[in-house]
Amino acid sequence: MTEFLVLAALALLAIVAAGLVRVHLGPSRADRIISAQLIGTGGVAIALLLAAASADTAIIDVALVLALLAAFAAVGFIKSASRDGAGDPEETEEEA
Amino acid sequence: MVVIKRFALFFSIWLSLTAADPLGLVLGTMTAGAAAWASLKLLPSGSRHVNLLSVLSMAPGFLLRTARGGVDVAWRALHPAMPIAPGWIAWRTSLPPGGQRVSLGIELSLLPGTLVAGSRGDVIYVHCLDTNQDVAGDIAKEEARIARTVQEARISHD
Amino acid sequence: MIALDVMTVLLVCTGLVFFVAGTAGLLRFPDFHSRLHALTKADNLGLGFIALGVAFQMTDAWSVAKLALVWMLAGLAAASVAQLVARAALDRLPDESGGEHKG
Repeated sequence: MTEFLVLAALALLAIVAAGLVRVHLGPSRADRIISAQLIGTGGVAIALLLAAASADTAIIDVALVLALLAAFAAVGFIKSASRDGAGDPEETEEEA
Repeated sequence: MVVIKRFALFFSIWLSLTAADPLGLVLGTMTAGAAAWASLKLLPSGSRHVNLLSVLSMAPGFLLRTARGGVDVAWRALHPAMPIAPGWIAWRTSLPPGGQRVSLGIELSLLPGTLVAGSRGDVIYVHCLDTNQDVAGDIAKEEARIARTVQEARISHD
Repeated sequence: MIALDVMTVLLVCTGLVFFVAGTAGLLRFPDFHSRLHALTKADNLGLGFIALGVAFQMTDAWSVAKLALVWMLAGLAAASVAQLVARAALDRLPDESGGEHKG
């Protein structure tokens, strides 16, 4: 079972790496940040597979932190994408 | 009441994070209390009454629609001919601003073929993966479902 | 035990298919918002299947609860982030570019 889980984690790593081609191609910054989000989701899945492969549940905590950090990275991008506080688009729309 | 609900939510998260280790219970109680306080500061409960049971009763359908959305887009991405016709719909919603619109946004973003990209006034902008389908009909159905859930929750509260 | 292992293999493989689809969509779809569809929907479903598959290997209930927590947090974060990124990527709202549809 351990072999299968490690192989699955490796396959997933390859799939995520292929997605990085979009980071290179772009064309927009938003394309690049969502490709980076793929590392977030894929990385969480890889961590879960390794947690089962090594029977070490502490790695699930790593997955949890990775999920949160990926979300914060995207929020950071959104905030930087607009200076006028439109990082919270719904709110500005309602005020307008 | 709201404080107790939120405290229970955060405390159960703490329990699953620490596997209910008795060493962490005191710290967990303090942390969950602080989290409940902070969440009330950041998101006051207002007049919305969300019934936990009605939310839980929505969960299976929610999961099913998530799965359908994933299968739909996966099939289109892997299909050699890539059957997509992307486009936009400007949808005038009848739901009041706030929680209900947010749930509509989240729901539409999970359903097959739709993704919400912002709003202006009462108009929300929905990106469709396949404009050949009856997307407007799907959105109307979803909107009616959310309105009904909120109404039922309200009745059971009064 | 073998039944549990079979479940894990089936679920993890299904999850991998969705991750392949997510990457395929990211590389093949013609516009940004279509790519976002592929990422948020296919990859989250893939993560769900893998978390479920891994859950069959766990020996205690608390780990299973934590797996569920990971998936819910990742899913919720992805769904809301996707909407915000989708909005941030729009220079102009679509009706200004003449693409208004009925609503």
